[in-house]
Amino acid sequence: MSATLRLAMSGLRGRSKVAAAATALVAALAAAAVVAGLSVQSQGGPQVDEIYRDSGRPDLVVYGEPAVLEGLRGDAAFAATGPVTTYTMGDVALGDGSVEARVDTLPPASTPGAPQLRTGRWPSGAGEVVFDRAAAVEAGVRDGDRVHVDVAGRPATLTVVGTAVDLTDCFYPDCDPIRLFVDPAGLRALAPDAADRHTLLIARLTDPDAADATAARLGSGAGVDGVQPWPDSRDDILVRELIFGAALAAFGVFVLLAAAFVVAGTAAARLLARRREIAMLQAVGYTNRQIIGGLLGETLILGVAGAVLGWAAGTLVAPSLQVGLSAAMGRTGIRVSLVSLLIAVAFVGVILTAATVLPARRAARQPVTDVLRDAPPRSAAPARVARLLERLRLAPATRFGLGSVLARPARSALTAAALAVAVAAVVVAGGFLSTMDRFVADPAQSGDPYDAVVAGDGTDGARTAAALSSMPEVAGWYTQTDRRATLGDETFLARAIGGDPAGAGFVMREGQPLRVAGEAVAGYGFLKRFGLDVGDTVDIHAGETPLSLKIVGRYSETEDTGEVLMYRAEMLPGATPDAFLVSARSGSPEALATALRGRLGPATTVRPIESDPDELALFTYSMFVMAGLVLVVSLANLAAALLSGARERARVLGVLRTVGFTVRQTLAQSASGGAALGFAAGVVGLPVGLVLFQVLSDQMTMGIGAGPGLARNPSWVLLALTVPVAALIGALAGAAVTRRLAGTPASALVRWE
Amino acid sequence: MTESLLRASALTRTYRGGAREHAALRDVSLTVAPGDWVAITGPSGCGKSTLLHLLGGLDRPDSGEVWLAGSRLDDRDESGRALLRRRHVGFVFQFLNLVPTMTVIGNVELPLVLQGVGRREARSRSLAVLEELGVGDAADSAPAELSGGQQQRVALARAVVHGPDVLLADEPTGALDSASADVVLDLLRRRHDSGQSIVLVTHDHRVAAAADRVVTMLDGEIVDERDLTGTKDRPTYANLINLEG
Amino acid sequence: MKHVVLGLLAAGPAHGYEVRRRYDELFAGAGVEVNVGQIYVTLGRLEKDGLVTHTPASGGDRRDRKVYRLTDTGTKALREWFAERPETPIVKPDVLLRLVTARLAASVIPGLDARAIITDHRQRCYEALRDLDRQAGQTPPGSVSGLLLQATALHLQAELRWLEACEQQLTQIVPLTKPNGDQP
Repeated sequence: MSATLRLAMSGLRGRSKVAAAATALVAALAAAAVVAGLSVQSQGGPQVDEIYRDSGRPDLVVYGEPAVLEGLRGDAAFAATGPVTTYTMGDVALGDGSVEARVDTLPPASTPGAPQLRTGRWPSGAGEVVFDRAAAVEAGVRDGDRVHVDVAGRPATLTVVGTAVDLTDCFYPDCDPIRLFVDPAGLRALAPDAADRHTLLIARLTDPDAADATAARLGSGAGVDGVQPWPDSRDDILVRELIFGAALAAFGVFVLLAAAFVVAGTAAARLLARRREIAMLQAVGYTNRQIIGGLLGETLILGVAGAVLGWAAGTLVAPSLQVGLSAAMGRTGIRVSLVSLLIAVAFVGVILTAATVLPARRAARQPVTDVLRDAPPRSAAPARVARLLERLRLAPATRFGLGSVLARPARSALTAAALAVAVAAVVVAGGFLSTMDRFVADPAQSGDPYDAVVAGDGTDGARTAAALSSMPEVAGWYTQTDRRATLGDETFLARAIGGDPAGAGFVMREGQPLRVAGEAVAGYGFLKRFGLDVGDTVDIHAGETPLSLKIVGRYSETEDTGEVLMYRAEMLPGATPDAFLVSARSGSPEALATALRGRLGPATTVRPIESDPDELALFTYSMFVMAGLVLVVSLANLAAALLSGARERARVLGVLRTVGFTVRQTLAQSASGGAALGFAAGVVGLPVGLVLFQVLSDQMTMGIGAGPGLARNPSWVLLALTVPVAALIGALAGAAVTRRLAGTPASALVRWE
Repeated sequence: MTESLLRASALTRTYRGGAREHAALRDVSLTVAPGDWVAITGPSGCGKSTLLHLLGGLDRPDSGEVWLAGSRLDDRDESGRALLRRRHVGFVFQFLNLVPTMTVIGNVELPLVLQGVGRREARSRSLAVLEELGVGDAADSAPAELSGGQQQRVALARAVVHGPDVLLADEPTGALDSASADVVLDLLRRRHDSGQSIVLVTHDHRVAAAADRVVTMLDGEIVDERDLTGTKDRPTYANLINLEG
Repeated sequence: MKHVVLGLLAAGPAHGYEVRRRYDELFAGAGVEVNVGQIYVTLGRLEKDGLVTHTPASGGDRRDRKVYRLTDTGTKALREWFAERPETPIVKPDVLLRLVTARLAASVIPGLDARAIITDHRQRCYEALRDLDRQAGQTPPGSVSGLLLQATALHLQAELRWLEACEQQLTQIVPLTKPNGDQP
């Protein structure tokens, strides 16, 4: 065995089992988080792509009039199409409320875009329905249950005979409507009135990459109400995975950073304890390089072992962390990726090397004769620090405690740094929580500044408008009409706003709100996609209508990853509103919905705004678990550093007790040292955490299309308490670890080996 | 009869290390009067350090009593004994006496600061003692910058700065070269001449001979106690020298 | 004494009092004093052996006026003395002899306290050591007297250390039988 390897192995044998296990465990934790994060980010895609292929590659969904769609079936861009499918819109009671549903006639099995059956069987009669898989799993609807469907005010009850996955839009709860499938008789029973029936066409393109361009071309044609290209749906399906995976990986990095500081600190301390051994090796003939190699090798062996373990754990855990897709598509199988193993090992290896190499170099550089002569290790200008401390009028216990911390500047700095990482992690988590809270509490942040929706189909727009304006419960309302619009050969969602959007409260991030015809406000995603800015003028086609709009402002929108353009409804003469969006003066959205139903009658579909606290709960829960893990790692390190420091000073503590330090003063000195470290950690970690939070949250909100600057800082209570609490935790840790030492009789302390 | 300064009666102390037991002290009694200089000597492992630790309240005996300056020491807890030590005892060990993270004068003024003496007064008294012991120049240095002999002198300064009733020293010259040991021994003599009571543990008989009374210990017991200040029937050492050739 | 006097004369011819002065210069600092009569007796013996000779100084035949010097034979004797190896230090364990004798004579001499032999001796050693220390304070270091004092002090310390061993192993030297053969 090479001399270096031999040295590494001997170092490993000499380590305390607990410390070695701790190092490996921390490396494993970090690797697991990074691997799981990467997995989560990347495993959704292939899964979705598989279903996409199984479904016959539904590249484009076109909504429009039956005759027009029939004519489109022969379009040159289409490789194959399904039949023109009839559907109707309704509401389904789901869980505590209801959700919008699109009830399709079941197409033949092997046509592009046919739904994929997951459980049960296809419907064979009028009273049967195949339910949206994602919604079924989320709400606990099982085969054999009966569900209540309301189409244009006509209630019906259907029996669920199966569940299926459909790719014409993203999945519940990110997207609505959910999709239900019935046989032709069933559809006729639900929607006997032709006015309630609509048609769609699903096509596979010869050139899937041209989906957007094809959508743009077809969307502006006459008789076409809308187009939905597959790439857009795919992005919507995967966005949650992307964000969660990114957050997971980011926290893996946090853990690893904290681990790096921990490893560096313990490496420095252990190397100090092994000075004699290292000096003797040098005297025997080991070169500096061999010694550094041996010391590094020791840490790397542990780190790599931990990383491999962590990779295995992360790979095993990743399928369970699929937050959004699992409901719809079932858990993915475990994907063993050697690439992620390499990444994890390389990542952990690099960080641990960086953490250990400096202390290793210092240890190898110490003069051999000094060490063998038992000369005390050189510390940095001890007298100066001591004189400084004496100038501050501190109690003896505090003075000694602080002096001990400052006497080992490197080790103390590293311990405090590890804790600072934890503080930053907690601040970031708190910030995310705060921001999420705000998003939930204020739906305007995601572009939905309303409390209840009144469906526009089949209602008298003018009558509804008059009713809304007269209701005292209504603070304001506006209408929206969605069109698939094109700019050049690209397509996006354009929304015509009627009524009084100013009363609704869209959150303007830049510029001015939408007031008059000819103006438009855009989401961040839209501006980014087309390379535009507030102040530019664009010429678009909303459906068939050409419009020239001046972008006067940017607002906060998360739908369609922010690629939405809003303009005044006056510019679309003759268009009926798709929906009336109503804000309540006070009270809950449910109360407003009830009032609206009462006023507008049962024929009108009214839905209160949904929030999905469950999803949020999972996200914030995981955030705090991860922040908590980082905190545990750092606190354990703090305790270990304080304890080893106290043990090293045991004899001096004995001397102090001889001079007259009481037990309480012994505890107090350790508490002061810990408090100083905690204070430093808080003072550094708090601003770093805030900055990091701003950066990370901007990345995230830009990623979902809402644009930067949406993050809300953690509550001021958290911020104000961070530094004092960190100091307090440090003090408690210090007092706790020296409790036994403090109770040891002075006689034993003085004789400490 | 003068009230005794330090009185230990029937002390026993046994150390238990797992299965093994070691009786460090067996029924040891000792009295120290004000102004005494007592040396405790004996082979290593005889229990002399243990006795000194008990006298100074660094540990509690398993049985027996220790009285210091009229107060009972052994029935107090750790902190209680520490408080008593602050006023009445000064300790010097063989090495590593000084707190490395404090300056020399910071170390010396500790007993005064712990008693609540004001900063300025503590500083001036400490400086005076340091100068008396010949290390006044080192006041602002760190202990690591001093030689072994200088460190012991600083330790001595700290042990006497608060005017304790008794100075307890555990092998104060043990780690020093003979020249430094001479200096420290001389300083102890001078202190004793000014009235300081000293109890000193040593295995160096030369140091023991400097005391007024030598207590010899063996296997946890006192086997001999000799007063060296008597004048009758003293041989001169010249009898020991034979230059006949 | 013989070689010491020869050596003192080797530094140069001298009369008796001068020899004594030279002797004191070296050793008086260690408290070792010599009687001038001893000097004259030694000089007389050396003269008889032909190692020294004297020339009468002025003032007649008084002994204090004789000036002595080394003869060639005397020088040769000195040279031979250097060629010899020095004496190894002699151990005279008087205490041990007493302890052993105490054991042997236990039946004959009742009331012998073996321990007292050790402790009394210890006290004398300590007292001697104390005096030595005081004297050492007045003697310049590095002088002949200083070295002599150091030798004595170390000897006393060795003795004291040995006394501890005696005390530890007392039972092996002296049985615990009381006088008249009674078992304890």
